[in-house]
Amino acid sequence: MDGLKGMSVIEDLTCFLAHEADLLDQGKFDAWLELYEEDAIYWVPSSAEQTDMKGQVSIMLEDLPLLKLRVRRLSHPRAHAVTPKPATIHLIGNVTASEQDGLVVANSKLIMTQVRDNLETSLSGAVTHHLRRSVDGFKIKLKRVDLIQAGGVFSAISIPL
Amino acid sequence: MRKQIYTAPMSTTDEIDKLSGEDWMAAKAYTDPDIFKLEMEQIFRRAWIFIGHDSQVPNAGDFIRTRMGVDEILLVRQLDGSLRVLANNCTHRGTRLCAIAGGNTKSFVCPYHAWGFALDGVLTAVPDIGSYPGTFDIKDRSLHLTSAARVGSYRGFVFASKVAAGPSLSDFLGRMTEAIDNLIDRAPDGKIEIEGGHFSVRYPGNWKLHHENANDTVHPGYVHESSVTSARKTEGGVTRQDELVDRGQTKGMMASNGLTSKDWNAIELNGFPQGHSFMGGFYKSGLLAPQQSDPVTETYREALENTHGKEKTAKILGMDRFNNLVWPNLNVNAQFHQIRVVHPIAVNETIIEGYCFRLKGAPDEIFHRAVRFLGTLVSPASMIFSDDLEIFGRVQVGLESGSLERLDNRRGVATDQKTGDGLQSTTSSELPLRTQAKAWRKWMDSKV
Ligand code: FES
Ligand SMILES: [Fe+2]
Repeated sequence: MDGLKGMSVIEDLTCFLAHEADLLDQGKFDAWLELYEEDAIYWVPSSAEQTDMKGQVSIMLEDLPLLKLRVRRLSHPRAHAVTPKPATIHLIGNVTASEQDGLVVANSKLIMTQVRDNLETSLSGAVTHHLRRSVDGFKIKLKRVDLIQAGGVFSAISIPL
Repeated sequence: MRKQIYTAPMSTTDEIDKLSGEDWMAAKAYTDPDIFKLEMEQIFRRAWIFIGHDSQVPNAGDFIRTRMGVDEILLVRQLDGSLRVLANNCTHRGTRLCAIAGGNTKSFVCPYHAWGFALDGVLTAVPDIGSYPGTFDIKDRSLHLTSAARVGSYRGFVFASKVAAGPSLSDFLGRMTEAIDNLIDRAPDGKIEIEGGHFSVRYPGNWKLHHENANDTVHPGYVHESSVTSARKTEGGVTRQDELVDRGQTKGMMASNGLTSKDWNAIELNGFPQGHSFMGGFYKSGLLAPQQSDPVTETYREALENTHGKEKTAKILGMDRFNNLVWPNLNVNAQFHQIRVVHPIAVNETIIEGYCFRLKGAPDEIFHRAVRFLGTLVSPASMIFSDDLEIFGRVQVGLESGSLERLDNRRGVATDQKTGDGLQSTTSSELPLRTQAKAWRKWMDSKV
């Protein structure tokens, strides 16, 4: 794994991750999914250092077809868990990058604050993106979010991290 | 000094009759902190409360920290192989003894002044014991960790009661042992183990709302409408990746909730005097559904047939029941190798825990399918469960801020049929709610 330290790579990645965060905050979920490769995996493990996708439960383990289902549900008029719609801020930072098997690996930190029905909640975690360079920037092959709350008690989570 | 000898608060039949009847529950029973306190005393101390599974504490010294109602407890495997349920607080000044989720130990040592307790709760070490007056006797039972009066296991499912008198575990469980038997029978080696992690999900509502909802066959079409329509409308939705062990199951589960009145009237409901109930299965597709056929299922079926023979195997795999609700705090999904446990936290706060089992002797992938099912259904991010949780919260807010005095449990009351000591319905009856209310009245009455 080679560290990618060039300022421009980090800047490009920061822009990309901020763009992804912004699409989620604006509820532009279809556009959000366009950032993903056809064979992408979106993973929120249930415990820190989880390596096993099959033998260990995950908070979310979805590929593009399942993410499409999720996104469609979010915009349904009678999706009770998101009525009223939560307002969110996905704040990303501490971006570092490396290269692995021809993919750019971006590590970042995420704080997601949500307000719904006057109730404020937050989730935080370390995020890993495996990205393929494409003509128009990057495409996500794998996104993994390790929540610091993993293993503990959660309230319902509706907006993707 | 030690805790006072416990005296139960009194609740007379008259008082309880003001809170619940044959087909209704008072809103107060969901919102009044005093009634919640009474429930913790009358139900969660006295009735058989599900604590955990044998496989969580296989060896001497193994323990897990969990709850019995609002009290934190330790389930501890003793040196002789038996189990004890100990209060997780020191008898010196009440400090919480153990703050980790579980592990293996020789003793429990309090972090405050290092009083040491053996695995059975007996006080064995007191630093500077010479400073205590002569009246202080380390052997005094009142200085031992409080131990649940009765711990019982039905084939590895461990229950406890803090009082010595009451129905036997087998009388309490009644026909619900069928669900536990069926789950164990599904393992070719006859053994099951909790594995694969678990979920703890909080909702802002009363603990009773979970079991009242679980066998309610009318709600799915409405509460889960958004996932039903999305699953029906989204082309694809079928996972392509092996690591996900899904292959359309999530989509199928979401779509299955789209029950019409014809469908829900075809789901059999059974309720029992102990408060338990079960409903017929309605997930007609999916990797663990009875109709499933694929190489892994075939290998698994063959392994089961080697143990039980063809006929019994068909019976075991054909038992199509979904939620088997053991009142007050356990739900067994035998077919999907799962359980859910209800932990009341406060009158308006509840934690649900979801676990799955590995069936010993079954192919690995059968376990992976159970893991996937748990994730789809009980994850805090579940596209299905999150809508149920939302509704629990709305019922709670509605009851706390509204003018409703009674919750109505009348649906299907005229069509319930008597069977054995229970009731059966093939309409969308609120029979399970009436069953639960009846058990609630019985246990809440302190004279019973
Ligand atoms: S409080 Fe436990 S030893 Fe003092
Ligand atoms: Fe539901």
